[in-house]
Amino acid sequence: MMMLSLIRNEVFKIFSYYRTYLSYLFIVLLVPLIFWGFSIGGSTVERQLTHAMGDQFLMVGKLVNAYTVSYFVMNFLWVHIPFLIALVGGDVLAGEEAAGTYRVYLTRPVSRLKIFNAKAIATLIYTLTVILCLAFMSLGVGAVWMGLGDLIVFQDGILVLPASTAFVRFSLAYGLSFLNMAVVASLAIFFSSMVKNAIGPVIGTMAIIIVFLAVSTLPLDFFVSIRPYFFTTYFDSWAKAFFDPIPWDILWQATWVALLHIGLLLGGSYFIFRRKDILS
Amino acid sequence: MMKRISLLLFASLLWCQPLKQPVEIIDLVRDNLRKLEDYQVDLKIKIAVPGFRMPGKSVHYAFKAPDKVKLETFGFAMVPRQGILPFYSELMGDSLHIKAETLEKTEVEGESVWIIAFQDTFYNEDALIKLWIGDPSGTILKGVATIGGLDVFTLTSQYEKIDQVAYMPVVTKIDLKLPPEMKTLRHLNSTPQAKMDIMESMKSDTSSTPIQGAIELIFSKYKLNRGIPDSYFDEEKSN
Repeated sequence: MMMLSLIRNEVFKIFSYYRTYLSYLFIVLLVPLIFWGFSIGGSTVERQLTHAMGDQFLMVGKLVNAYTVSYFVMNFLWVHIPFLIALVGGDVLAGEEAAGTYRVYLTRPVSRLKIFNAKAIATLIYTLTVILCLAFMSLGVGAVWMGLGDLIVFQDGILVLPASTAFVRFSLAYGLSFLNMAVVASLAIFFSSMVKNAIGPVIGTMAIIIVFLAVSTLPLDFFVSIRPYFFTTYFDSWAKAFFDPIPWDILWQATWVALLHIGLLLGGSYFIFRRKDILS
Repeated sequence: MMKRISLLLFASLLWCQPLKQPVEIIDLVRDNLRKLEDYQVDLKIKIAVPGFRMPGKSVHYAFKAPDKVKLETFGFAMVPRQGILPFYSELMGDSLHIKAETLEKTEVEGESVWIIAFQDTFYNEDALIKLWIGDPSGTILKGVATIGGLDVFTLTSQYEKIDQVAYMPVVTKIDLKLPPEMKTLRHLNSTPQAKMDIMESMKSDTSSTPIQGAIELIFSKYKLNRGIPDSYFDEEKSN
């Protein structure tokens, strides 16, 4: 009961800042814009497909629908959404220190572990709502705007999957996205536990993501050998939920790597938080 | 002795039986297809070519002689231009200008099969087309289109007589050789990591040789000669 009150309190705090709503605003404005873009003009994919295969094949129906666009929209999960997650996660501990509220908060008869857990869970709840907002705006609004159809995705070219598999695959993809974004949130909390203002954790988190992403994609022998140890290597695990057949072994590996990172980063954050000197 | 000689004579006469004229063989196919005024069929199409995969797509196909076609599907589908009624336009066209040649006679599963060859336009190019035609069914059991010495299209079909009207394909398999530009479709991958992997693999694959693909068509629920109105084909253009 105490824990629930703490979590509710932390969630209230997160949602009392204007910047928290930036992520929803970003999604609510940008996703319809992308749908509008797709609805007014043919895509490069359609043109390339017609150019390459038009002599041999007839094309029937629409290539672009809510599923196709939602799949494209998920590419925001590389840099854009992580930034918005870091914006909130980076403030969750450092914000308290900057505002000087730690002294009041941590001298109450509630253990630091409970306070830390409440903050971490509240940040993960925020992360989940961002992913759900993205899913609702992409699939829900998209279905009304563009209608449904086949699931057209990319796996070594174009792959046309039956619409009947879309629900399972999107659920899996959004689930994996949440895990990846939870790693980002944990990283932001980790940096947040070390400093006294929220700007450092946001920049630090984004710097790590960008550097790791760059290194993850470089086809040089040394970087290829260390690639499996970067959490960013598994950032595209959501895309693999659309492969045929679904590579379950890779998805399990991505899940374990994400959970391990979340555990280590939050563990490390708690270690720092527990030793935090609030008297000086 | 006389009996033996007459048997030998009869056998050699059979052996030396002249090959059927190509026009007679083509007429076998035409006779089968002329029985079709219209038909509808459900297709299950599987396409696997480098750059494009469609593991199993249902398409409803309707045809009315001489040339009305309608395709319907939920979502999106790619349908091979050749294969649903193999070589129909080449063999049924009024301006049949082919100079066919009968190559040989063989036998497949107890049925006589004639192999004929002719020159025609295929995929907008001059091609040598070779057909294996069943006698007397008039079914095209195999077809090969060769462009510039390369077999770009190889089709094999199994048939069933539908409603005691005409022989129609129930399973058709096609092996394709496609232009190397198809490789570019592989670049349409969204994730940065996948793009890097593809670029790596493309380094060792810069040849201009054609790429191979396969198509499988499974036909079911044929409805032959039910009198489809012309208006059905005018509703919402399908391709």
